Amino acid sequence: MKNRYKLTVIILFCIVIGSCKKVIDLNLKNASPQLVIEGNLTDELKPQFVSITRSVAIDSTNKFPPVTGAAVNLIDYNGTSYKLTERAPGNYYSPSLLGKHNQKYTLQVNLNGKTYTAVSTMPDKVSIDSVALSVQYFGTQTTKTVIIFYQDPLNVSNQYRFVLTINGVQVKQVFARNDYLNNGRAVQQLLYEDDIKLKSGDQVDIEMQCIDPTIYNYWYTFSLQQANDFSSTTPTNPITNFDDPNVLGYFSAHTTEHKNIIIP
Amino acid sequence: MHKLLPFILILLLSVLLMPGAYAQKQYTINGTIKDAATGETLIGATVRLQELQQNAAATNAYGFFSLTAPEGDYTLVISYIGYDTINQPIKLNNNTQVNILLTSGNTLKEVSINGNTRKNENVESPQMGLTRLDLRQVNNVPVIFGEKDVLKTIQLLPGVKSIGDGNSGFYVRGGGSDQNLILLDEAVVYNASHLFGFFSTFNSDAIKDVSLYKGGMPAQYGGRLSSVLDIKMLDGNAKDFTLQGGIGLISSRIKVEGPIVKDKGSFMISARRTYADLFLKLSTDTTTRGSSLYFYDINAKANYHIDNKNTIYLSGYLGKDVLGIKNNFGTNWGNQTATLRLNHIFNSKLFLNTSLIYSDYNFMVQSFGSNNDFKVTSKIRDFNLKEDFEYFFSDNTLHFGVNATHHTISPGNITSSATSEVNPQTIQSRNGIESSAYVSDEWQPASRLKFLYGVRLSAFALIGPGNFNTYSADDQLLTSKNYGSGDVVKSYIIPEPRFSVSYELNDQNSLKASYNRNTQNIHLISNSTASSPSDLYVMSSNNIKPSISDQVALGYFKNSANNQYEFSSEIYYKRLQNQIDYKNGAQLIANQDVESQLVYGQGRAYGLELFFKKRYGKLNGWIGYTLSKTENQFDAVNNGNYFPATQDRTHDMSIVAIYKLSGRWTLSGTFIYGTGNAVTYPHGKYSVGGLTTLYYSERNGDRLPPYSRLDLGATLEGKPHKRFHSSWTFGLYNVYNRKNPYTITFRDDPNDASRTQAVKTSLFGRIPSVTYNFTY
Repeated sequence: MKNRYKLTVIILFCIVIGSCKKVIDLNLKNASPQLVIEGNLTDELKPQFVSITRSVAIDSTNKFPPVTGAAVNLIDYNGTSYKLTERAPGNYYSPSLLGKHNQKYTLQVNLNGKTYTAVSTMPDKVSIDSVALSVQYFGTQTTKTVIIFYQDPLNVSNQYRFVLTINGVQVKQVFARNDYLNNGRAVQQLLYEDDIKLKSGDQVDIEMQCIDPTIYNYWYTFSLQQANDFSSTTPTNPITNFDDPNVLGYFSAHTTEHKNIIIP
Repeated sequence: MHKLLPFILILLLSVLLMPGAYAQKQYTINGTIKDAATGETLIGATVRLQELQQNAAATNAYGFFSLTAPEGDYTLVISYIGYDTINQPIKLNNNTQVNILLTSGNTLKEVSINGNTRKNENVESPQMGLTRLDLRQVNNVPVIFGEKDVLKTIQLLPGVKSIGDGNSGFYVRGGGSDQNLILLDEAVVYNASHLFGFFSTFNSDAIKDVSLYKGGMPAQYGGRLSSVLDIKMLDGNAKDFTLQGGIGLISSRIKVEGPIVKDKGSFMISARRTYADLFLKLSTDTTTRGSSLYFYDINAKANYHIDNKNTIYLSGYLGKDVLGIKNNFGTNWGNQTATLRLNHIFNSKLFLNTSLIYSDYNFMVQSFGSNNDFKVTSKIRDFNLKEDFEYFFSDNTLHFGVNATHHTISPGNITSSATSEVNPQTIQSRNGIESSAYVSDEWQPASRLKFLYGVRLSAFALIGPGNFNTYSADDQLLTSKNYGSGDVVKSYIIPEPRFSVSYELNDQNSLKASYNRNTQNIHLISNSTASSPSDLYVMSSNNIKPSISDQVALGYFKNSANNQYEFSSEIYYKRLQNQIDYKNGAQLIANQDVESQLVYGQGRAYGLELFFKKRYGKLNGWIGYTLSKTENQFDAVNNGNYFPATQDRTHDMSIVAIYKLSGRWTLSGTFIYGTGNAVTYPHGKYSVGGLTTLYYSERNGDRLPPYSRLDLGATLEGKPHKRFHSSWTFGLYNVYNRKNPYTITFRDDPNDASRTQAVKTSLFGRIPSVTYNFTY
């Protein structure tokens, strides 16, 4: 919200002054490759997926080296351990599993003698009521934005993540929301992004995830990094829920629901 | 230590017994010095007895002076830069009151940037780290959009750094932007900028005096760690009605002043507004047409000289910024201040000023969405009572007084309609009482040695009503307690010693040293690297300790060519304790428990400032250079290692030159160069959630590219008419069009999505400006 009006002022000034953006060459330092573990457990019956890769230098291409030979285990609320098999380098799959609401899950990764553990509790499911499109006119420009409707439960603290995919391409903007300001209300969530402009005929997939508070913190701090305007905070890495704070990535047990629309 | 004791006792006794130390009878001359044409009191005018070079006095903030000397016949010499000096014979055999009127002199010869009015006051006075601006010269310094701006001008001095383009916030000797005490006629101004920092809230037309203390703050000032910017408004022409104004590209201003009762009372009102949004009205689109983007401010002052011993002043400020997109959202914020002051002269030696001050800063943002309307308001309100005494002895000047402020901070109230999806919320207000008592003495025990020493006792009490949570060191809730109205939740008392000394090697050279401690109880928590009107203020509390700064400074000062040239070099070291930062991923918006989101640490700043100035002549101006380092250390950040503060700038240089061409033209230019601010760049990248993400390893481990800029300006004085005077000011900002970085961001290369590129955003290219000024 704040981003939008600052953006407006800046656009106004830029039009007047005509300066603005330029690509530059920076000689950036390169940190050593860091371990990245990404684990997701949903309430869909399917093999659950964990990916382990490493980070690369900033001036290299986006080919992230997979980490092979790790021992990955998913432990459910009963203590039952499910072993994940590496079907492709860095990609580990469990047997077909269904994540249960309000239950705690643990992910354990054993690599080179070190163990990394993360815990996540899958919350209760909040469903999508409906999806709509908001059209805004600003000068001669038309902006189409997806709106999602849902009812936030009053008695619980809820956290959400929304993922937008347009014509098969995931939108970069991360939408992490909690119910601090709108607990118990019928919510209209505007999913504003300026990454991919929506046009008529576009096929949009909207995913609604209900996430736990630690994972909300992860995506929230992730989205702060993305705020590329002059109200941006000092950038830091998103707060992982792995016990080793140097691990990049997360383990999230969340509910999921999809809705598909075609932009009119 | 005990060997020094008799020496210390003698020093103390000599201060107390000073008045009676001479065998001869002592008499006092006192009075007020004013401008003969307008009746404005003159601040810092020098009053000397020619025969006793050592005895000199300067007029205080209200134009009052007091000089004590042995009985005899003297020549009284009164001087002030820009005015003709007066020599008046005086027979001192009684306490005498002398009121002086000075006439504006030949300004060409003594046009100066800096209003140091004792010719070599910068060498003589023990006061270090003080710069006073001459408002007549602020006019000639070119600034962006042609808006004369006091805050932008002080950023051209060594030791003072700007946050960056488009921001009138500033850092003094490495201190944070909230560590500057900005006073307008003694009222604290919380947000000193308009439109996110593009303009400052001070209309130069209404200002009489600007003093900036970077260090060595005398004990009468307190409440902020790094600097005091003391701005005094004009009183108003007591003899004649005048009208002054200007019309510029972005904004216009007007000032009206005149007598209420001729020579007894006067008033001044000035106002300013931008019309940057007028071009929005030209749009064909209704939303754009109905949108707003403007600010205005109004300064008003009235004074009345009740009798020889009493004068009353009433001043006020009202300013507001409005930004809005029709039917979508709106935001506005502003300051309001009002000050009532009474000067009382008890006798020829004792002067008292009583001030009653009200200050209010408020911020509002509202959204008009059909189902998610809401309105957030937040405010800070102060009520302040000050008593300041000045007691003038023959060798000492004693300042003492008390000060009490009641603060109310209402961080955020959310109101919304019943159909809105946003819940209304009221975050508890907080109240605190900040009080202090101080005593400060200016003492000259020998002709070459001067001391300025004192102590300020600062106390702060956080009071109820409210529910107060106490958090542990790792932000876990420990206790929660309810307090009634006026109950003390937590209090702090900290003595702040202040000490400066100057030793004159000769008339033109001196050495100075100072030490001062300052504390601060109002803290700014900002979730961003740039300042914003929604930044949050919190007071010291059961969780937040007062922040403390200790600064030592040493300096060498030299004037030459009959005080035409001024040179100073100062080195300083500052240690900061109880600094506040927010933890990673902190939730600051509408959070009742904002104190649970904070981490604490310390800082240190040190540097060397070099300053060379030519005070008058056809060509005048200054060069300033600062070499400095500012670092912070927080256990929770950067593995507890010291890291550069965002405002750390290794090199900072400014050159200001003003050249009076013959005829009606004056040319001016400024050049600045500085190392870039510290930033956090990514040092790697990885993939999560289907997205390429940046990896950060070192807080503030990198630098923005260096900042440099050249501005040129020219003023053409209009032909002289009887009553009407006009001038044109032309300016060119950023002459060689350097795109200084405002921010650097990273994105996927649009031509090759597998690569990352850095994008620099700059705000201002080359900008011309024209302003028409008039005086009637």
